[in-house]
Amino acid sequence: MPIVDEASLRVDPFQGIRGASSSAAFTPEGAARDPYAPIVDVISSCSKSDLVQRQKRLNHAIDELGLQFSDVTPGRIDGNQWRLDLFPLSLGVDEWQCISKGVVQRALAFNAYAQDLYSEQKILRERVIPHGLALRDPAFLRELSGIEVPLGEYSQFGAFDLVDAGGGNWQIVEHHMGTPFGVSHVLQNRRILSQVFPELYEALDVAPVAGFSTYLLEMLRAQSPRTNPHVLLLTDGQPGQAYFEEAFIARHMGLSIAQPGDLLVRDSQVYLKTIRGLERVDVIYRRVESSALDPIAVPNARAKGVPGLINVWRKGNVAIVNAPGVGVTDNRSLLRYSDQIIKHYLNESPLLRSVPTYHLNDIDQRDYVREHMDELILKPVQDHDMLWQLCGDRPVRSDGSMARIAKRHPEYFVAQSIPEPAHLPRFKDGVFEPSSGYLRVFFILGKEPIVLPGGMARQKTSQHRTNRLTVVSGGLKDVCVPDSVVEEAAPKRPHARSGKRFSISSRVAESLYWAGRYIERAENTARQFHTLERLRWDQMAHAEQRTYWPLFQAVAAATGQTNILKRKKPPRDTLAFSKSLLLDAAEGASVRSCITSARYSVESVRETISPECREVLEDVSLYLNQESKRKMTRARLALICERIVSEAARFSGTAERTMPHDDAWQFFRVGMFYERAVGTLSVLKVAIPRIMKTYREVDEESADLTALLRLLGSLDAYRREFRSRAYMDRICSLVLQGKHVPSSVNFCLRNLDYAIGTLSFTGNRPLGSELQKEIKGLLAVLEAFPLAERPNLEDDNLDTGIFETTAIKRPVDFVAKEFEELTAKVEVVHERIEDIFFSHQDVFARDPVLFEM
Amino acid sequence: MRFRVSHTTEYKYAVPASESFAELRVWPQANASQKILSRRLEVSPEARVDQYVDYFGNNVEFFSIPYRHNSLSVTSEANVETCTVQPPQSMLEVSVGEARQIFNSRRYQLFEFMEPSHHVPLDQHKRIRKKFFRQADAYGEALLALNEWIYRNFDYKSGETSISTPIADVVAQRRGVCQDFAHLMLAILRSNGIPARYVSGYIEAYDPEVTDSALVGAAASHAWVEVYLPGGMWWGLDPTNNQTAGERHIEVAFGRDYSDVAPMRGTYKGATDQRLNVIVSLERTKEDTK
Repeated sequence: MPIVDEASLRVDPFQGIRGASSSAAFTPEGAARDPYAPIVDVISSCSKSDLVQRQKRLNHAIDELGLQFSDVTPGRIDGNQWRLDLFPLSLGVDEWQCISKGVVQRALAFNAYAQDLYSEQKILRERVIPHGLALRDPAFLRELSGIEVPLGEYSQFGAFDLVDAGGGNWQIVEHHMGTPFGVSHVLQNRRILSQVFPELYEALDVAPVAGFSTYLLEMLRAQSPRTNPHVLLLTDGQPGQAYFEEAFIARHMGLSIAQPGDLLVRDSQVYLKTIRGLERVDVIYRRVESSALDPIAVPNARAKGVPGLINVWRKGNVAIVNAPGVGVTDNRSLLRYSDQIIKHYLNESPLLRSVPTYHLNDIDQRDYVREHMDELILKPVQDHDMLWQLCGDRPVRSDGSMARIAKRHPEYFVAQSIPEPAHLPRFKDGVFEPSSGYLRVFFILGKEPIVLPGGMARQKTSQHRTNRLTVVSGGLKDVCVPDSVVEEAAPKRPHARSGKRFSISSRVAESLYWAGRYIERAENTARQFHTLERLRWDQMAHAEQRTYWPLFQAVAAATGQTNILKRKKPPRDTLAFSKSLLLDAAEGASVRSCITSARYSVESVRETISPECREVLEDVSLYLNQESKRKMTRARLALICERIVSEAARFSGTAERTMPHDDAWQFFRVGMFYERAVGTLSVLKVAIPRIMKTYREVDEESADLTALLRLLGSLDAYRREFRSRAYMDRICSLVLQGKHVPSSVNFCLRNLDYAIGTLSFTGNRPLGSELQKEIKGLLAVLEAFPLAERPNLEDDNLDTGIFETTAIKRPVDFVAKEFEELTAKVEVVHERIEDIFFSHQDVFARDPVLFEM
Repeated sequence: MRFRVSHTTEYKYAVPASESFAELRVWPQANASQKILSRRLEVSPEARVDQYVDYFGNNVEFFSIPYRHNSLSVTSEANVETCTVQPPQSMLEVSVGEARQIFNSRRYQLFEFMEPSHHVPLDQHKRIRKKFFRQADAYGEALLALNEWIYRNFDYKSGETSISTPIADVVAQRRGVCQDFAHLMLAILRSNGIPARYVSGYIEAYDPEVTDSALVGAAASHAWVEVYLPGGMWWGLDPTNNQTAGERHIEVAFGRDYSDVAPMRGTYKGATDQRLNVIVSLERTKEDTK
């Protein structure tokens, strides 16, 4: 048998690019440069199909992650642009040392600049840099001046973008000292590539990156003198890449995640509204723009922010990382003066230079820019929203708009000359091709500065991004730093135990509560319309329609269509009405609106809910959107109703099976049970008095009562309980007091009570138990409800209905009033849930100090 | 002259409000032309009031009322002694050209008050063709001429403009209130390379000793401008009354424009339905009216 030498059949995957000029990976002679030799060896030993397979696995792994950060746009999930390349960027020992020292030097110098600008402005007085650059910076918020920032460090966690101008001559392109973005990508890229291509990391001596989040957490905790400080991550919660990163960081470090509306300022302290009440916040890891942080301190019509937060910070009662106002360190017009700034504050010679940057407000520089525009990239001095507000215009993706704005507002624009970066191989469509990119390096300051040994490499683009906080422009690369250069830095303080758990925020609880209510409401409406449809309304005689009309009215009323109540006669055709209550997006109570609301409630707290649950909602929502465009028939209506009922069940089942049964989940259940109780009551409230008017005790034809039971999903329960045909008092008894009937008010309230009882309260405010007492009181009221006396089940004549009361022997008005009152009492439960867990009025109301006036 | 100033802001909410937070700039300045004899602030419902000094040197107070309330009332009361500080003639006699040179050499220090700002863009009063400042003009006279020109050419009319009315509209309609005139004057001054700042305060509208002495001000709450003089002094000019700021002006806060000195800025949760009532009273105190 001939032996085939596999290696001889293999083609060199780098064939086309080995000798290419300005390659970072290869010498002009085609040999692999030092840091790349092991990578080139490993990859060369793989067959093309193997490489293609691995790239596929990379894409697959990242798409799975990407599901979590895709934007919510009605009807579809946005395409995931995050792509990770097989070929990492690798740095040599000397190269890395130069970069990491230079990064720390620059971070220290620009922090000193921020501190100076917000206090004495010595650098401007001494005319080291033109004062206009600093004072016209849209990120310079005068309102934040004169505040003492701990250690004088405005940016304790930041990043820089670098470019290799050839031969390891790294230069700075941009600062990201305000809100560094991408650390989640660094950690994920490494995890995924090392799973897909472990051989690469076996061959290289790579410093691990995973420990960086521990350092970050330590730095945050060290901001507070308290032993177990409450640290949270503040985000504006806009879905997208930034939120994905924030949710990732929060989960990784065990921080609670909050939006501005979750925080409350009271007596110069800031609190998180949680289901346990107000919890003091000690450290905020800020991912909200400085100018949107506090609408009172920094007036900003576009943002809600946390009114008063800056004053709490000013008083030193909360630490904010990075410090508000830090954005001045990212001012691109300062890049030209980075050497002077480093010399001025540190008295050292600069280790890393900036790429040539021209400010358009300077006449000479502007002339140069005009003549060399083809080689330059136009950028705003800041990516802050404030800048575009000042310009009164913002660029769209097309080429010309930025240049047009720059012409009118040269003071807000720079042009950068980016050196042609050294090339690296990139795997695309089965071959390696040359590509060039930027390197983002992250740092943490503090007593001992740390530079993350690794980073994120991304592809170079020809235009400046128009969207802040996005990096995913094309291929990302993992960045490998030799492990031997990383000094063993012992953690600054022993790793803190997670300590007491902080409870879920009120917003999370409230969102899930409403998600539960909306899904339950959608299910109710769908089931009820389905029941009505099955009566074959269109084939009924007119008189028959009138018998069922109260039921129809009850269902409509339960969805808030109170105008139907006034109609004496049923409309001839109910199809249009049914359709609008199922599919009309403009109809607030329609099934479609409920599903949309549920979906938005869930999206706003997506970190607390399982991806499987989100998927169910996505599916239903997509389905309803499609159906709403189709022509409606009765058969289709019935199909839609059936599907909604089963999808709601699928959602509950999925939640039950895939989510931890924690406080958040309990609030979903609280919402569901509450809505169901209210739904049952609102049907009874309308239907019973109306049916009473036409009710005859021995009427064999009172089929509407069977339909009523079906509407409430309780026909089977009734039959098992009474083994008789439907009587009004029995129905009332069953759906108000039935202990084991899922639709009964009693059942719902007891489950609600149980769910609240499981919430993990600590501290000395037994908030939940108070509410539980109230619910128990309500159950007693229900038990004594005067309309529904329990029939004697021992009676042999149960099914004849002769010896017992089967009709309600009370005036109709009295019955209607009793139902109104019961409904009002149940509605109070919602108000109490709101006051106790969501808005905290309950806490204020019982605080004796506050009411001594 | 001694005055007792009382400034009350009252909100009545149709539906109870909660989570109120507000920042106040209603603490009169202590400076060469006025002395603060006493000052107190009252907030109802009761709340802890904290305080800081802002970028421009104004005293800022703030408080929060997280629980439900139906109304909110804030009263600032101060006893102030004022005197007139006239600039030396030499500062007013320099030519506009010389003054500009001096400003240019101090551009960094005067930066905030020479640049456009939110309410004072420099391109909206183009319809005014008149040239107010020629290089050879005496600086003081030119300033007074501008002050008078605004007074003579614009009608004081309340209720027709608001804080969001752009300067261009004020110029087109030739009417407005004190803050409009102050913003317009700032725009003309800064366009001419002259540093100037916005002042909020109070004015004694009627001289109790003189008949026919009415000065115009929005119910005693007033706004005017201060212009920088070579030599380092800020000179108060009141275009609404064609006057220099004197004993009957009480200065509270200054900044680049209204947004730096808004007397009360706050938020609350609740329905937007609210009734606002502002009462300012200013009276000479007894020892001084004799």
